[in-house]
Amino acid sequence: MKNKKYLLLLLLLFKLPMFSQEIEVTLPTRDKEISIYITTCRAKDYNLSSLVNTITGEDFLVDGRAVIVEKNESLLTLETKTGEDLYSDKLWKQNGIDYVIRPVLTQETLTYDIFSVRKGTIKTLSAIELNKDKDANIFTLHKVSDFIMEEIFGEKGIASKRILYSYKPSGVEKDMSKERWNAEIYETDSLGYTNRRITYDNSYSISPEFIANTEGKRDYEFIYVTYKIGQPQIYHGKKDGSRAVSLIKLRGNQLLPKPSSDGKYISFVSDASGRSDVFLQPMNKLHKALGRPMQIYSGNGGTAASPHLSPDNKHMVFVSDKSGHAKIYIADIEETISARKPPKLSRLKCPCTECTAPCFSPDGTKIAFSGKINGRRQIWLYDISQKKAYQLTSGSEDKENPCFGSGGRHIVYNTTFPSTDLYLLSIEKKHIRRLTKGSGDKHYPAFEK
Amino acid sequence: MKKTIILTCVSLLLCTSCTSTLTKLSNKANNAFMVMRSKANALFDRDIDDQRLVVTSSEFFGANEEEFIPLNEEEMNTKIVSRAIPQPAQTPGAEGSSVPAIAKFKKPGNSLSSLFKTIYFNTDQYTPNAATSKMDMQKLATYLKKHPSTYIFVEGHCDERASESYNLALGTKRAGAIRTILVNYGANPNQLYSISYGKERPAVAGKSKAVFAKNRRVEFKIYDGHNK
Repeated sequence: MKNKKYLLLLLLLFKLPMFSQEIEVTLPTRDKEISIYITTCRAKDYNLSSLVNTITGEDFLVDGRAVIVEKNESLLTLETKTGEDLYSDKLWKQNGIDYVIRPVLTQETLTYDIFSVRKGTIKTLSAIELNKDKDANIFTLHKVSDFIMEEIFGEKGIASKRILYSYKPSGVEKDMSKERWNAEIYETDSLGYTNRRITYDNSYSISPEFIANTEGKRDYEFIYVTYKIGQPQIYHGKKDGSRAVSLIKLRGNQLLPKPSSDGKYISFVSDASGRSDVFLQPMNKLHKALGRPMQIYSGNGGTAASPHLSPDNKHMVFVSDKSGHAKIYIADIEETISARKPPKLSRLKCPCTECTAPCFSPDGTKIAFSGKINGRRQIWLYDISQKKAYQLTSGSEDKENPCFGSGGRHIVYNTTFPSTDLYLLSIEKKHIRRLTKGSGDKHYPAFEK
Repeated sequence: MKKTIILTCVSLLLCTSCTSTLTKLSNKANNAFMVMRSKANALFDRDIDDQRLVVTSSEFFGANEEEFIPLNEEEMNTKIVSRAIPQPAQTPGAEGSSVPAIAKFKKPGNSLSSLFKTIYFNTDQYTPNAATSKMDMQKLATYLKKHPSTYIFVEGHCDERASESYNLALGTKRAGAIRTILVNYGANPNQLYSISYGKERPAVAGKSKAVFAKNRRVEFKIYDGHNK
């Protein structure tokens, strides 16, 4: 009888993970959230004013650092007031509003008033010229949103940050006999309103990543993997349309590249040695390969994938199946870089299986990754100091390839089931926004830093 | 009470003194895992000659002809590892390469289709399943030995169940394993290029086990240097 009890207990212990409930995210949030009211932009050009309202409102909603106060009848009436009458009214305070943002559009000239209810101060942004190019206007409006956020929170948001991804039109794989197999790199904005193709290789291109300082620039440089000559290789492209060139001189398959935060290295996997190895390619200031790539980890008959350097370039996180299953390891690589010693590895412990696609947060304190629980692939957040993993997403879609936005408060990822689409997750608010729609696969997202 | 204290102290002492032994045991367990993997293949009559005790660092890290800076490994002779066949120095289609890009490589025609059959794999494995015989691989290697100007792309594919990024890496292992087998049977490694498609290029669409099995595969593409 006693033995039976122990047996039951043992069985329970082994079975427990199968019944584990999805973990609620309990990340620290701000003490008191700022409340913002955005007045409605009204102008003769309905399309343009509507665009201003949509982009400004949604930028703040997605940002998640403030509560966007909903419009009600009294506030809408108040909006119609002008000048001192508008900003002196006590109704703002009564509604708990901290800031009023007021876009004013006159023909194609846009200005913003930022009214601090507490301080009683008004800041008017200098005039911004919009034009007939909707995509350009969206980019401008995102930049303005970031500027206003910096005014209010002291730190910019992700509104003007772009996202690169690979897009494979649907149905091309059915035409394999004719060798049509195509995917190109595209760019979208943080709300998913614009979609612009940026590679024209007429090949299969995946895993794009921003390199170099892209801050505020329309054009930028990026790397990606293309199959255009056969074996996948890492290419260096420019958004200005100039021809992309092979970046790293190394035989074999080059896959899953990720630049370091400071742009000094690109980590990637290659089978040049005949094994699935992790490499680091030093880079110069012109974003060209500097010398030979360094072997960082060599799998003993196993598979290594998805390497990513910590912001201080002292650690690397990657996937290996050296224990028989895909797991995430953190490697101490200081001595590996300086003395070529194989790295010391520690395994990231989490309650999910098939953990893949890890990436460091911009401050290096957390790691986002994809892991399976209850039969579905979800996005997880591992807190390095707490040694604890938090489940960020739930639901019936399979989610992969998480990538942090600047500030570490957002993650962009793609689903692989039931459709392959991009999503933007606000970590604190748990707000999820779908960025792409339509047929075809939209995957391997990369967030501009 | 005294007994408990003594027992605790002894346990603690044992634990501390055994740290290095535990590390060794862990290493042995890892090696045992690799050997087990090799034995699992042997059950299916595979003669891959995949596992071996290495004696030099180039055997572990692969000959690189100074193309990359390799790791330095100490105590190399304690490791049982899989054999590595470095990729050919020339990348097909790259500038200066005498071997063209993959566009010039074709699916094996009628006369060769029975020889260059698609190879299938079990889930998360990179050695062929029972459908491929040792003789199949030997015939392939023999063909390559007889046709030194023929170049092959060994294409590794995965089913859709694992993640996209992991599958890209797994595809290199599958293609690499077939390359290794062919080289072990006498093929010239410089005639063989591997390529990973991960799960990006499925042969069959669907969600059934049968579909997954058809997508876990290695296919071949041929370029005959004589009949350009």
